[in-house]
Amino acid sequence: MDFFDNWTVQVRKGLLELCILNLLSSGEQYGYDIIRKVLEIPGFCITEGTLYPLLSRLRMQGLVQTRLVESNSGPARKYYALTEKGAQTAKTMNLHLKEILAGLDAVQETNKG
Amino acid sequence: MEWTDAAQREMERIQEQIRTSLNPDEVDPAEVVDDIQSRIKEELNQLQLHTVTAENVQSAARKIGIQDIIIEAPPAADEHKERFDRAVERPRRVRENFSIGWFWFTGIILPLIALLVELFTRMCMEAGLPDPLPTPFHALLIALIPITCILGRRFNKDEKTIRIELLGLLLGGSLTVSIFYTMLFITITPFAIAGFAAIIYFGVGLLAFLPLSPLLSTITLIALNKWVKQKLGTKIPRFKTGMILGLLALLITSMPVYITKLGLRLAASENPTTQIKGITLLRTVGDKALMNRACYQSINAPDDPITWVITMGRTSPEDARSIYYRVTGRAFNTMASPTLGFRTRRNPGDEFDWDPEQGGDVVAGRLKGLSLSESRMDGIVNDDAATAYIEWTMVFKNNWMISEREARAQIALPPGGVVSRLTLWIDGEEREAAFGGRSQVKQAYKQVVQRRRDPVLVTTCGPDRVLMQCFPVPANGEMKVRIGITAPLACLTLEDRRLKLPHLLERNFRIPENVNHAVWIEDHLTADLSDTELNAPGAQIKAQSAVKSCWINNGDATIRQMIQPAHESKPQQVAIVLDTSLGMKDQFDQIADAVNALPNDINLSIWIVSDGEPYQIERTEIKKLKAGGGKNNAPALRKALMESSECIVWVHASQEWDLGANEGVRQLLERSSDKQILEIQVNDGPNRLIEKLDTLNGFHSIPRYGCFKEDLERTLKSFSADYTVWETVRGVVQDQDGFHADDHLIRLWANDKINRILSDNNPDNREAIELATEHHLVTPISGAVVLESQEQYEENDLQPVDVANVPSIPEPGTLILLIFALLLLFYGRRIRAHFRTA
Repeated sequence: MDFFDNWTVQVRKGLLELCILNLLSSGEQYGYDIIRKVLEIPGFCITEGTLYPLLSRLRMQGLVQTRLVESNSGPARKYYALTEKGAQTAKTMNLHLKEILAGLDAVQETNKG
Repeated sequence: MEWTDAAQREMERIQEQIRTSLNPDEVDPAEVVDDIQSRIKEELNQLQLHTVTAENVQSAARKIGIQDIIIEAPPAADEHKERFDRAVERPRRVRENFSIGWFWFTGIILPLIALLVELFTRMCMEAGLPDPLPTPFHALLIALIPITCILGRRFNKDEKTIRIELLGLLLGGSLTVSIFYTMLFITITPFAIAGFAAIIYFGVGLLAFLPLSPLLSTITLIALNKWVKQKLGTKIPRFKTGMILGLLALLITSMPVYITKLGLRLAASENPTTQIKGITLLRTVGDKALMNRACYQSINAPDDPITWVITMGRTSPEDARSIYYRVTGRAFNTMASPTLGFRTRRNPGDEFDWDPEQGGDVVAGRLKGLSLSESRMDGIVNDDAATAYIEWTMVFKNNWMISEREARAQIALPPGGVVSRLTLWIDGEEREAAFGGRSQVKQAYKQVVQRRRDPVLVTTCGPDRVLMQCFPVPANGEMKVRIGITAPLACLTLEDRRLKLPHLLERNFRIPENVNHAVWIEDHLTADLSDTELNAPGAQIKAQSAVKSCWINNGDATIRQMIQPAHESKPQQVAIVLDTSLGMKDQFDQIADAVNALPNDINLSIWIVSDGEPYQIERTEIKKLKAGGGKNNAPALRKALMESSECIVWVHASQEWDLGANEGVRQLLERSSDKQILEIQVNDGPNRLIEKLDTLNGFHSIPRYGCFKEDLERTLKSFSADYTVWETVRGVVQDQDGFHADDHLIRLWANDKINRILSDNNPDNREAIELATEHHLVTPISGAVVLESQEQYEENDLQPVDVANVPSIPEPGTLILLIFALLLLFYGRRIRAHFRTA
């Protein structure tokens, strides 16, 4: 793996939690839907094997909550939703990311000038 | 979708790897394992596999990215194991498919077949095995077994099919039911296993081994229970509750069955007190269908262990028949047997498909398809001679396409009447009967019935009663018979003379609503009477005449009849014996009122027939009596006779079953010439005790001319010294004094003489048989039979009556011809005389 690939893995890892929190801020989602929507984001390529441990960690930290919904076509589906704390944390993380990105932009602009 | 063992193990291995790969401080391994397992199953569901293998599990796991969680590679040793598992995968699948098939067969198909076959054919019951379906609720309980197996199987595929609590209840309940039925058939299980082995080898006769079904279902349910428990990884919730509920349902639904069996055992006891306890228990909660079945069941048939534990034995069919009558007041063979498959459902009117009493001596229950299609009664009444002759023609129709039928009926004759003619139509021709000794004609009839030819038989069955049997009424065909009855008119006063029309007391055929008895009694009555109207007290002819004496020549002798006041001594002591069987219901108020007619100077004792010892009551207590069941009247009659009552008035209902103990009554009547029993029956129907007491000197029936109460009142009033009872006395004399009577007087005289001979208790009754044969009479020692051919008569040493010698009623056309001939003769002479003088 070259340097860039390694870096993208690190970025993905760093941003995956924020990505999921942002997805859930629009409403509760079923696990498979989360995967589908994450995959639509360029650069994000994860499997359910990665997602479920991550969701479990977020739930243990009190950022998301789950509920089971009976399904006609198979076993009950587990739906994930943001908790109050999760919504607040997502807001703070987004602000922090924006500040970082703004700082990076400012550095780039200075270099061009 | 079936999971192979290897697939299960692969799933367990993946779950274990996930657990060990995750940090429990950061994530919940159980939650992740559950999520991943659900997703793998979802993936496999979408593939719609019949059987899930280890490879399928691995493939699905890879698809959802399980490798992103698992840190370590599986150990090398497991790879070897996997390869081994895959190698044995195929034969294992074959074995698993076989076990699935066996599960379907023993858990679902076999119980369903057993249930449906038993429901529609009652095969076990007919074979004398324990009845698995005594009530419809038992069928529902058995249906739980296949339902539980189907739901349990679906649950193993998909947990969402049914809530586990409900499945637990069903599993517990159906396992209890199958264990119960295994116990029920345990005594025949070894034979069934042997039979089952045989059918697996030969492949035939599966239905004969249905009793094995509960045992196989029990094994299958135990296996299902184990699978569900394995799947859950814990105990099945509500399983024990299900077992308790199943046991309760069985107890509640089976309670009447075992109480009835217990009641039968108690009622069959030799101890009278225990007997009464049994009878009372059965009357209160006994299952009538089960009691009726016990009357047919073989004593050697196997019983279930539960019955053995409760009842310690089985009641013999003979005992069960008496008990059935004592409990219900009906003879077991008058009710359709519940032992023959569809019968009870097909024949809600209690009609029999088959005739167990064919060629026997009892009428028994109604036969399906057999009916009276036409009935006419023609009669002449001689008011002055106080005699009557009635010909009753009946046409029987058999719509039962399967077999020919025997029509049987007990006919009530007019009081003092006697059958003097019997005719059968064979191929449209009239055949007259032969009269002979009772056993001789019965034997001839039975022989011909066995050969399925055309006979008709009439014998007596009590005072003023005859039993008519004719066979065969062909399938979809008819049979026509005629019975001629000679009867005296009863003189209530010198001038008031009555004739009660004959009627049917008991019959094994239907009378459709549109069929009436067409009655024509010359100069007295022309009417269409329904069977109810014919049986009613009003169906009688009233005649008037003041003629006291009449005569007829009988060869060289003259027979004279005198109507005169009776010179019998009036009783000083009267006992009334009151039956309390079911047929007496609603009669006690009338009896209490009628008893007031008894003159005050006569000592009265009232004996009550009961299940136990007879007891005495005061006349004021009569109205409080309750009727129920069937009771033996003989002990009360014997008690009353022993109490030295001169006259016993026995008021009773019909008694369809012979309960025995009649010899004690016969003994006292035979040994005490000054005692008499006057019987009066309140309802229609046979009475087996009367049949046994018939011919005894002191035994008489109270003539019936009014309603029951009027007839009883008249009888009790007649004990008063002021009351004149008119009697008719017939005898051989020298002089020809009074009105010239017809031949029927000779028959009535012969009948009187036969009765006198029989009441002497002389074992040599040849003279009586000769008289009966000579005058063509059906009496207690003689009968009438029509056979099909002369050969049959000769074979039985019988001679049919010559048509010229039978009594008859002149046709209206014949009468007109006779009058015309007389007129011709009279005027012919006058014309001839006129010409001679001219």
